[in-house]
Amino acid sequence: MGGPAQIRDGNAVDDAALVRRSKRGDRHAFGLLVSRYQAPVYRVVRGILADAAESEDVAQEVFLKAFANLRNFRGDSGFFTWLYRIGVNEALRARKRRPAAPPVESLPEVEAPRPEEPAEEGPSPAALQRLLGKLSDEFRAIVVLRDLEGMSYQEIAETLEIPLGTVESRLFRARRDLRELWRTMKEKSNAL
Amino acid sequence: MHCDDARHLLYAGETATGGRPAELELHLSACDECRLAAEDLAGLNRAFARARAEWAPSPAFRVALPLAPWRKLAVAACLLVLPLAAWAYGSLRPTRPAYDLDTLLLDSPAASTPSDRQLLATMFLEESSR
Repeated sequence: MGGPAQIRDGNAVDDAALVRRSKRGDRHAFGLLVSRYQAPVYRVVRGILADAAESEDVAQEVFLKAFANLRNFRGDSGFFTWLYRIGVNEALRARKRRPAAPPVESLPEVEAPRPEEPAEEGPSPAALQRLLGKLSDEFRAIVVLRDLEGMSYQEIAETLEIPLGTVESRLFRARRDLRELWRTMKEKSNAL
Repeated sequence: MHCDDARHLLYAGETATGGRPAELELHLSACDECRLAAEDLAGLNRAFARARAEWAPSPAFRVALPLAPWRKLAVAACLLVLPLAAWAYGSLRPTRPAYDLDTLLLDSPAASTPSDRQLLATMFLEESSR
């Protein structure tokens, strides 16, 4: 799946060792953490922001912020959950600086898929991006962490600093809304 | 299994993207609405998998970390020392007179202005020629 668990398992030096070295001023160690997590952090930011260029800027800010605040990272949770938390917060902050997104009630505004996109295969990444853009901030963040990044519920709870039960209920409503949006999109496509 | 339980498992169960319990499979085989929901969610999961492969930072993307404190000091020191060194070199360098002979011989006031004797000689020659 390419999520955080696979990233951790596929690397000889674990995050904690690299964080310890980074805290001692080893910039090369932090560089390794950056190269390990730049793609997933970018994906999370992109899933929330829906803009490729802006996502790179925000991902850059995420790592600079992590570097500047590394001394405050106590290691109670995993490094990646701490990093993802910064990523989600920075992406949501960047999104708040934009004009407000339309409410979920405006479902008919969702663009229909292009004829070359078979509905059974699910929406294209571009269409998925538009669907995600229709979700509320908290729903979008949780769906991106779970369905895009493959994080466990426990990891999501640590990242978003919410109880496990809230993860479950929020994910239920987020997926239900996403499916409704997808159905509306498919119906529009069939009507064409 | 009721539809509410099935929907809960589909939308919020941690196995929603992996294997499903046999009880849920049994319900899906009998309930069209829930099966449709399961198919839609499977389509969305495929879309997330494609997005995971497609949404990547550009190859030019690099995280530029700020300079280390000792490097900042080194840069500041260079910025301070270089102008000082240039000023010191300029002020301590021995000044030499300009030995440009052409300028001295041709463009100097002494060379371009005729002397009194030359003027008198010129006047005498003009008078005698009349």
